[in-house]
Amino acid sequence: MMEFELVMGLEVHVQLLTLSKLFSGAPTQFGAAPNTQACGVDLALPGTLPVLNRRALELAIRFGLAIEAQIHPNLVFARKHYFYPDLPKGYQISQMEDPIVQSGKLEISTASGKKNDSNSKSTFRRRCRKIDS
Amino acid sequence: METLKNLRIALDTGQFSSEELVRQIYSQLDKGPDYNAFISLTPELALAQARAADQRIANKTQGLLTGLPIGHKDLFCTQGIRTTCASKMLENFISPYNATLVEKLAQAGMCTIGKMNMDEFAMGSFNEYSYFGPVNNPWDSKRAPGGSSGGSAAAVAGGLIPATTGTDTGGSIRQPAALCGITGLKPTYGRVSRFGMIAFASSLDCGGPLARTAEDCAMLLQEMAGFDPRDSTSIQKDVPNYLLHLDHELPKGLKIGRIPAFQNRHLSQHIQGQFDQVFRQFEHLGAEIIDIELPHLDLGLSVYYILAPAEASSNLARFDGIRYGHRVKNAKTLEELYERSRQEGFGEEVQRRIMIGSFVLSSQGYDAYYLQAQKVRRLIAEDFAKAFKQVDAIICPSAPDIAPPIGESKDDPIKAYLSDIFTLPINLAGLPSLALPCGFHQGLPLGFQIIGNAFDEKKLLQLGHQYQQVTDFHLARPKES
Repeated sequence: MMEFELVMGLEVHVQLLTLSKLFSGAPTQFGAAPNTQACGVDLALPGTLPVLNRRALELAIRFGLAIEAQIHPNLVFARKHYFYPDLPKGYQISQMEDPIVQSGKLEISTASGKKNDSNSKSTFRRRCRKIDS
Repeated sequence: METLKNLRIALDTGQFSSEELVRQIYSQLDKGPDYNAFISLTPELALAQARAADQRIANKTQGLLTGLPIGHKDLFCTQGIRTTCASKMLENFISPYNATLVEKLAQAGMCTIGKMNMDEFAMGSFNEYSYFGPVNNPWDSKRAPGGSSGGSAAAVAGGLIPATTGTDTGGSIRQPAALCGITGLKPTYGRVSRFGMIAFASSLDCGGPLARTAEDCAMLLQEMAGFDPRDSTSIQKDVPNYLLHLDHELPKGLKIGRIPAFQNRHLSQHIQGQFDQVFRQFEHLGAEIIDIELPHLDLGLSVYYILAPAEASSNLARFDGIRYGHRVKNAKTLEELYERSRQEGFGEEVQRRIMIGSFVLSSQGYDAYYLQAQKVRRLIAEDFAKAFKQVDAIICPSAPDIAPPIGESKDDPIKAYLSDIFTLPINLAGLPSLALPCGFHQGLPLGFQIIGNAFDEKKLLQLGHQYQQVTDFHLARPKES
């Protein structure tokens, strides 16, 4: 019988603990009254513009450093387009080329002990920042 | 209508009040031709602002623009007043907030007379693509005023209002300024906030003033310019005093570039000679004229009509009929709601550009068109960067011809696109450019532009002001007004 090596990949969506949203100043309090956690930028009102949340960027860089990743010196955002009623702008703001955090790794412990060799380290292919509807 | 400068003196010396001035503007609009330059009039707001301004003038706390009238191109969001973009899509859209530029001019004490007609979503060169009908050129009402800030230019030229705001994505301030015989400034990209300015092509859009004189444009830019934390592309750079050195003679040894090959290739035969006198005037003013070459300028048109529609197709995705704007009745499915709302809400030129933009961003168009265009855009910007090592400013015509009859270009979009051949490259390079009137052909105005290096507005305004001290084209008025 052939020997198989198990390789798993996970796409993890994380909401960062910031006071306001990634591209707007609206609050992000869970369980708050309806229509209190959105502003004109979130509603994609004509003329509004996104402004990147400084704290979110700091958290991303901190995470990148923790997993020994490369931190990209430039931030490039792209628009991922599709029409959907809960996507007010008609696009997501996302990172395609040169995500802020790239090629990190994390040491894991298993039942057979701590794994040090590079084969058993988890690697982070990319970590991008994006707006989720 | 007097210049802002003269109205300032009149208000400050008590010749009349701001309220009287505002009332006089509305009564003239009631009686005379309005060239269809306005989409909305806002007398209640204007009169309230005028009374507040009169108070400030009485208390001697007025600023440069306190009590002076202004009209805003109808793509600047105005709180509580509809902002239509001259589109059926936003026919009844009322913004809950003010654009930064609107806010700044209101805080300076200006009185908002109304919202100006324009090409739908600023897409067009002759103001023929407005849901609210075409704008007439005050010099000949059968002719177009240029576009897309056609209402803004026609209202100033026709003496309805001393100044307006406009936006310039590929020439939309400078080309109508030329065709209407007025002065208009496209500032450096990032000098004026884009927040609240409904986006057409975000990397090219630029708000700026239209007025009678370079001096008036300087007064307006003084209050418009500056960093805005709500626009991440606005620049953190001090705003100089644009009025301080306007009266100074041109600096010794000033070099002005002329681009003869590019100019002659695109300028209509019958006005070829008209621009020579502009260069002669600047020689008399002490400048040295140097012939230069910018090899990639001819590609500007193709590059622009790839990049601008690409950005437009993305920026206009939000108009889907879900949250605001036109929504079709009786749609059976979500797809149908999107399709028909956008089909009904957008006019033909907007639809054409959305289709071009969607194509050049699609997987089969991206590498061949969008990416190539971005590379050529860089080459054009480098051409200018090299040129500004040789010269202090560049002068070329603002438009290749006089104002055409209304409707003439609708059958031939490429011909209409060509009318922006002289202005587009400047947006691609993100540079400032001041458009000024310089003569007439068959009774219709001609204009030229002074292009500067990034953040050289002050120099351009000084050059423009000096030119207007020795010429009187900016003082000419159409017969009707």
